[in-house]
Amino acid sequence: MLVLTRRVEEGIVIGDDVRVRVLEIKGHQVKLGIDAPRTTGVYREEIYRRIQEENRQAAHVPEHPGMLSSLWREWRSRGLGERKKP
Amino acid sequence: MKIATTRFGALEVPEQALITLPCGLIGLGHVTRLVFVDQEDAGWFRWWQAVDHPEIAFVTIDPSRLVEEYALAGVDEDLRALGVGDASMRMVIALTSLPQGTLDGATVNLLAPIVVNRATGQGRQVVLPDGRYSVAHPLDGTVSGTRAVEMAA
Repeated sequence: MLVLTRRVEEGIVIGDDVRVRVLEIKGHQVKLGIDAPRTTGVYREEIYRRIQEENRQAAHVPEHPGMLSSLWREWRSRGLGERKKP
Repeated sequence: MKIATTRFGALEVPEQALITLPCGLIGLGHVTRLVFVDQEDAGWFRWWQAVDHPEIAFVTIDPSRLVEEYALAGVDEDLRALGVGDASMRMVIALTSLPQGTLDGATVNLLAPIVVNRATGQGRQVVLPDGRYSVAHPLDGTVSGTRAVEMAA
């Protein structure tokens, strides 16, 4: 891992179009400003990892095309699916 | 166009039915084109099949079915970039996790829905920043945390 030391108001540039700037340091917290193109996702790491994990789980649905009718039956039999849309 | 799927066999889908996510899904950047496969008796659940990956299909639901006044707060910049400032211009899709294929252990990701421009078919997965919604909201709403499903009288 590349390690760089920066002061407040200094920044780093990643590639041609991502800029990270140190805005403020307070105790154990660092406030960063990030400029990146809209197509580049910028996320807090722990949130990114949780969503990544959840997306990957969501992609592992059993290979059973008729599953949704039994899921819907189960849903209705538990009285869950009756709310009218506002 | 014709697409191959492991669950539904070969499907013929009109090009205009495709939903395109230029950035892909978070952690699944290669999943960029999807199409809904509607089935009878599936109620609110819809299959969302990856066009370029026959084995990848998600089970989705409109999150506003599960949570009253489901709000896309704090993602104005994403909505602007998609051109869907107005709610009528967008479709919101939540991905479910169904480890057993049943409601047992089933969850829905309300934290990071996919927002799609209905007119262009372009969308992106957005992350709602305010901490109100869970990445794994129980689908049957039995665990507290976010607001549970309102049941019919």
